Amino acid sequence: MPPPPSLRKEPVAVSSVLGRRLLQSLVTLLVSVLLVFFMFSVIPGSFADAIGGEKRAVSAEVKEKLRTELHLDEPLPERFVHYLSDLSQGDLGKSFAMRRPVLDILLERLVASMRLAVAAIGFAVVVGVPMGFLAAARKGTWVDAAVMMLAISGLSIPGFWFGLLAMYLFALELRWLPTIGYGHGDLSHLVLPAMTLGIAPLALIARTTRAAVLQVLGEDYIRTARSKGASERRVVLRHMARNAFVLILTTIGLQFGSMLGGSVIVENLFSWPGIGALLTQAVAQRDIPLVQGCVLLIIVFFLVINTLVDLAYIAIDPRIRYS
Amino acid sequence: MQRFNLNFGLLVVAALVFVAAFAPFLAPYSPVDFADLRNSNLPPGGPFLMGTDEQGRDIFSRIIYGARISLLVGVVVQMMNTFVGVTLGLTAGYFGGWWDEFVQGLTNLMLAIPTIVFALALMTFLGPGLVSLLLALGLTDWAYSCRISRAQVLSQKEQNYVQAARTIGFGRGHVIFREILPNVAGPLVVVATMGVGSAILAEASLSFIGLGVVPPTPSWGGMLARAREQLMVAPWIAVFPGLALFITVLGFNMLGDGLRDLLDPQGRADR
Amino acid sequence: MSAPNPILAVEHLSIAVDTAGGLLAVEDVSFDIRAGEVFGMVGESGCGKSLCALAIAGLLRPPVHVTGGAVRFDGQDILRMPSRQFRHLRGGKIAMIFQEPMTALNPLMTIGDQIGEMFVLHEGLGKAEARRKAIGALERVQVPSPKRRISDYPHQLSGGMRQRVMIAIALACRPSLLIADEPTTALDVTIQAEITELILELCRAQGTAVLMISHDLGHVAEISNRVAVMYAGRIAEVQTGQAVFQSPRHPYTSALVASMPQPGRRLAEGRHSLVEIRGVVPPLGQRREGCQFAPRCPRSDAACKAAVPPFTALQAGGKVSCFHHV
Repeated sequence: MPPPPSLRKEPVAVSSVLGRRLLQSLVTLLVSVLLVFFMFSVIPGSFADAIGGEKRAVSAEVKEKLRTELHLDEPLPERFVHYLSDLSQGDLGKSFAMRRPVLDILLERLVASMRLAVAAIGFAVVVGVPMGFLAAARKGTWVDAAVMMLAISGLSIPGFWFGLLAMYLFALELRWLPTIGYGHGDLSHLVLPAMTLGIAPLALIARTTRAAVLQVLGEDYIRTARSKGASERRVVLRHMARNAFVLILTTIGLQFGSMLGGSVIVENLFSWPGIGALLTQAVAQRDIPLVQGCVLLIIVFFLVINTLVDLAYIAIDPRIRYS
Repeated sequence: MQRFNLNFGLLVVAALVFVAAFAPFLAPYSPVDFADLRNSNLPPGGPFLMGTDEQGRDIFSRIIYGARISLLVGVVVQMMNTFVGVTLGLTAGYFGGWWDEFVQGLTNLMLAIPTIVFALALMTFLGPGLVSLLLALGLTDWAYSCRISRAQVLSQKEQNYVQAARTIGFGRGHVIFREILPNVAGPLVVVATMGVGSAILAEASLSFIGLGVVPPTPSWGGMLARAREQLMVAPWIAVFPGLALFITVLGFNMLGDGLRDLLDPQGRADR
Repeated sequence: MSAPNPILAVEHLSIAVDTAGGLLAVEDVSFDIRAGEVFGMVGESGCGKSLCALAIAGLLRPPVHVTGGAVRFDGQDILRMPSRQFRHLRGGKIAMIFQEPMTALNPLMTIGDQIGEMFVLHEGLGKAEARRKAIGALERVQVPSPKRRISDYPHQLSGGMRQRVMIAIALACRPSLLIADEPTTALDVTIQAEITELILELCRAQGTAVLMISHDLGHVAEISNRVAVMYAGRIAEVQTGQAVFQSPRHPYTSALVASMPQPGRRLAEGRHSLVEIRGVVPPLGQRREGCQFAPRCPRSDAACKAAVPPFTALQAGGKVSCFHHV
């Protein structure tokens, strides 16, 4: 017996939706590789100057050797092919300043950045979603006004200033938490940086949640659920929450995805040994391969997270699954 | 509530413009020259309203002069971004085809890279300084205005007045810039207003990590960078520049919020 | 009249919208519906008919409130009932169908789960059992291949099919009263009759009374035992379905009937064209003293503008609120 159409339709549609999304991400990735490559290669003199650097005295002989090593003497398209083939083998080049493979350096730093990003988005979601919920439930009251005021403040407050103040209060005055550094990976070192990094996403998530909840509560199917005799609790948990979450998920994904890049300032403030601090250092030293590597990693992280969010949508929302 | 947003925003922006314009008259001391180490790290009060920094400079005066940098960066950067975004968005939406595909790809890419990272990457070869800062920020944060203008063009393109203009025989440029642009202006103003706030914030962030405005030019972010070093001995240095920055960004964001509610009473607080 | 006990009695119901002034949207509405009866409610949009329906189902949300009167269901005053108890009636004994089938179903739940929820809520069934009964319910509303459709999501169904699903949900627990708020307005003309017929047939079969709300007097008069005509928040008249159409007593109803194209009737009564009602329905904020229809009414005089006309009981049954009724 052939399977019923509605069942047969599903796997085909899922894989094609998925395929389209993956292809999109892949294209963005390729374009960004291209961009990252050309940004540092086409703009006149940047590479060659940077090798020398103002502070690093390098003899002409060494410079020439490096040029050959880095294929700088070849025409641009060939260099790009070299770059791509190196990239596909996981070779991101060698850091000028550290004289080590970029990939190794990135991988060392990635754990610290990931811990920070996960903690920050966790903080933002755990606090922001209930805040938005509360504001929506108390719409028009002072609670709502207060939450919205907090949210717009959270979006406007300079993260590093918030971090400075928090550092002063919790670390220097109260002495509850360490000021800066990674420690030995203990959680107490994570608290302040994660809160600082999470404050803006928190505010945005709270606003989005409020808007989403209000939107869903106004939908006809919520009235239908009530007309069925469902309790308010059931209406919220079974009918509202999932629909609202669908609307919030994009924001959460985008915020999480851009967190590796967003952590640049916070990592500098707290001397956190992650990708953001590495990038700053690389820029200051004009360490081009390292800058390229950091930027690529940040883009890849964003694309991976967003692809995961797309996957989550396919799992949650049947409208995407079948359309 | 909406009125409050709008009024608060207008007030802050007006105050910022005023302070920036009349800085020499408002500031009691020079922002850079008054380096007298005997006055270093004085707490607020007495002759120094907000205290002094480690070089003995008056923080209040530096904040007043810092408003100039913030306003300059905010406005110039946002004008650049709006120009780039609107031009790309309008043409992409109007012409479609491969150009549209290309612009959309570029926009996706810009959204995938946090502005600050892109700006940092550009500064690798631009080096620190005000001009490179303006270039780096002004060329990287146009994705939203591009998306908005593209979407608006797509929805406006089929509207009667555009069709009419085309039928009468007006050229493409006329149709885009004289017929469509005015109708896109509303949402763009909202995005641009908020964009000024983010540009000011981005400038402060870059200056904070030492890649923005170069000392001794007073900038709020740069002042906060010093504050970090002095946090133990002179915490007040951290308070006031940050507060100025916070209120300024808050002002632009609330102005944007208020404008959006004014222009589009239905679609509230959804971004 | 030796009528059976009303299943629903609405007594002097008033509904207000909370604004600065506190606007009365529905005033002093009274009617009753007998067991198994089809009761029509007609009026232009904004006349308060949907608010009455939502009030009876206990579904008014702030800023709209019931401000006075009572709604008795099977003798119990449901508006003053503990909300928990009302909840069991709602869906179980009082069911409702809405106008918009496209948005009335939860997009993230399968049809089966949405129908089955009724059995979970009101009959305490487990998931598997509820699903089995949901298939039966889908079958009753004549959805083809219900076993397969049960796993579908709303967006996979057409508007007509979705409204069938809504009917299946509403009638799942064999309610005593079905409130149908313009159930076919949003549908294709071709399937409107089909859906109406389905509702009436199923309700007739299981003895469910229907409160059928519509803006279409002709349609409602045809299918209802009795019809209430509403104008600007009040009931103008209540008569049998036949009488309201053939011998309307309120000038508003007369005007409505006259403004409708009626095959075969124009010539017999010597009318040459459709008659338009002059003026517009007063908006909510601009209602006045006395009879709301007075400014548009050819029969109105000073009395109409001074006081709301009380109801006059009609000999043939029914009532009309007019000093100068036909």
